[in-house]
Amino acid sequence: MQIDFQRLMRAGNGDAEFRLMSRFLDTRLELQIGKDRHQIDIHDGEILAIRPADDETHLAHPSTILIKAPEDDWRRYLEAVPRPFYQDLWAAQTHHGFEVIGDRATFHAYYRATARLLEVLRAIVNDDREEAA
Amino acid sequence: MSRFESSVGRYVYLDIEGVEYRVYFEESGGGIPLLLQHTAGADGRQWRHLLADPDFTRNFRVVAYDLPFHGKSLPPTSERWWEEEYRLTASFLMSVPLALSAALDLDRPIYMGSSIGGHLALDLALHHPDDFRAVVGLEAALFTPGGYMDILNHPRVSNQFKAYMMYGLMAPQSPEWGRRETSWVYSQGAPPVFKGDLYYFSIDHDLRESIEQIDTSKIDVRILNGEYDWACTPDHLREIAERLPGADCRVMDEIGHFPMSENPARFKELVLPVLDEIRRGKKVNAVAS
Repeated sequence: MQIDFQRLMRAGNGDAEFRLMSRFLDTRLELQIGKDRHQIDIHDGEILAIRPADDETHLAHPSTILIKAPEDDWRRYLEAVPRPFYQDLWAAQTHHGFEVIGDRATFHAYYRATARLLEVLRAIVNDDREEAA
Repeated sequence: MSRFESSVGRYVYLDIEGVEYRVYFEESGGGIPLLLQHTAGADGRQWRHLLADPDFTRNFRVVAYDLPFHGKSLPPTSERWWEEEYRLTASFLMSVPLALSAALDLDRPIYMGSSIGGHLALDLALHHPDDFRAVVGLEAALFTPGGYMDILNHPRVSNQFKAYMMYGLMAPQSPEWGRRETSWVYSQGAPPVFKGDLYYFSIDHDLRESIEQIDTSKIDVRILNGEYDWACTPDHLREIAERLPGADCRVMDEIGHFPMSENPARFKELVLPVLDEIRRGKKVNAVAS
């Protein structure tokens, strides 16, 4: 599954709602899509970098949040109009193959920031699909 | 020229389990009384679209209330409620529409509610079938464990989490303003209330052993669950349909957990025919899709 993570960084930092919801946030948000894991370094609400995650640092930082799912689940989650129970992270954890591991208090406190960033990712993925078609 | 809505609000004092509560309600229209129960952690504002719609108020006296501790229904002045954890029980929740119906001198109203209100529809049908002509349960189930979670009342997690957890319970097809308005109401509940309400939703409401005892020859039971509601799912609805064949059960396509507020136009298309069938006394034929 090809994702332009540099585009996600630019779009996330340029997204008004994400910036409001992520204020004061310091974390390492990791997205694992199948076996492929990327880390999103966020400081004071701004995405500083997105890069392939280093296995040695995986969950080593106390504020790391890891969201993981099989690639097929991610593909369904990122559909333009997701089918039932792929519309939201909590739904996808409850009914599908998504898992959230790590700093759960921060994850819940910043639930909307994370969900919004995934909405931005959904828009990027579908924009790419339209361009490819 | 000023523009007003038809609904008006006022307070009534209700005695519930030996305590007097000052309860806020709004009403509009005339005809068969229709009592409306909001979801956990929210308040009667969720029903504002029905209250303002003449297609509902033409034939129904629509009454939407705020449970005690919710919205404009403040905690009771006689109790030291701050010294104990807030927790909603089935007996208390059932008592509210019964007490309100008596206080307003309503003649066997239709009861309709969503989520905890949907669960309550089944509890009222089981325990108080003579007090209502029909119950309409939205987003209902026999049993929904797992919701009574500490993270829902945690000092490090604000009400914003609740608001946006609820945003994810809605259908992507619902209009953005409806989803945001529904979330906004959730951001305004007192911190312990949502979790406390889920004590009823996830623990005290349990009809797995008693659903067959509901007598649908005494009370008209209608259940509608949204396709995108991951808490009270279409599978929950099908379980009710299988075990209570006298109930009319319908899946609402492209709807989530908050039909009345997330997508009022779509909800109207789906629920107004149900209410009109009840008004005309049409006998139900259970259909679960």
